Amino acid sequence: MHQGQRMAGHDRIAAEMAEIQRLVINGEAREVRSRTLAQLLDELGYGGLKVATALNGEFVAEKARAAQVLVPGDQIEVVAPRQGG
Amino acid sequence: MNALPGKIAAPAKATPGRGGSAKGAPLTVYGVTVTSRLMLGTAQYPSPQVLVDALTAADAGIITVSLRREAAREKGGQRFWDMISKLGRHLLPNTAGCRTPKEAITTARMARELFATDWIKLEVIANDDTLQPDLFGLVEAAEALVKDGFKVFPYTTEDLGAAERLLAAGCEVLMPWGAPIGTGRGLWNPYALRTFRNYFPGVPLVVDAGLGAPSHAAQAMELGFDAVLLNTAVAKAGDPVGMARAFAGAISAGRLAFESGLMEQRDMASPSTPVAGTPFFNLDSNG
Repeated sequence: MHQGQRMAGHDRIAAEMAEIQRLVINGEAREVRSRTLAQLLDELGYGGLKVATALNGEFVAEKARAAQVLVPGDQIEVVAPRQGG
Repeated sequence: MNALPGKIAAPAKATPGRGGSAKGAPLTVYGVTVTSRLMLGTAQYPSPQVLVDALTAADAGIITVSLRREAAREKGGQRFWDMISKLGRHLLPNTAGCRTPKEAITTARMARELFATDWIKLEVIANDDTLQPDLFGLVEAAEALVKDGFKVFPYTTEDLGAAERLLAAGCEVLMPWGAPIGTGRGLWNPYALRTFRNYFPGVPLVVDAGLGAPSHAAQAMELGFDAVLLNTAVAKAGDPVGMARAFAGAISAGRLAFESGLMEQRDMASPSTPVAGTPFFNLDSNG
């Protein structure tokens, strides 16, 4: 019984990984497969780039991205250094 | 000199020196000392090379930067970072474009991580036409950011009450505007800025925004402001490198003039050449 529940859990996670969810990234609606903010940055091609992030208006530090779970409708900002006055 | 605001009494005066250096005394803010009193923005230059040359010509020790949304394929921000991080200047990130304390606070936190500095030029903008600071939002954001460990450079107006609230929040520098951002109109309220300077004799004060010509910067320095911050006047000049040099010269001259003590203005003429011994001068015939 216990074993069966665990397998079911794995199956559920696997199914979720394949699921597409709709997020808003830099003001633009996107369909992605990632479940965490760190995965999302990799999926979108930001891996290794110097960027900072916010989720629904709140800053998310680089070290917190891997644990930051995303849910449909989340609004994500990905910003980089830019010229300023 | 102390950091406490006082009554508006004597005009701001620098300590008399011994002829001064060509640039005047160095500036210390939040424990960092820079020799240049010109803080320069990095936006709107015709090319990255012109930007670097202008920063070098101005010898700007503190330069402002910002952050913007970046598409992964674009990488413009990465190129800018590669260039700016090699210049050895103190970076002052801004919260330009933020309309609410919440936006400004989140932007400041993102900037702290990106630029690895706890300095933040805090802008909370009230409206599009004047880009003037929202003083209520500015104070609220400054209080939150100081508590979070930031060293806040608030872009404010010449309002003394708001300035006192910013100091009480923990800001150690104030940056009143000269005129609305990007207008190039110079010091549109010199009386208020003079009052501001005299009211806060020991606080580092920077005129930020609205300067269009080196003479505007010289005027701010002659009033006793500790530095000026500008961008458009240099970046949009026909020759930004030449204009950076012109501003640097004007700022050095203005500062040295302030440190040397300007004469008092008077309403009536007063001969500079000694009157005694004037040829043909006769008391009787002139009486």
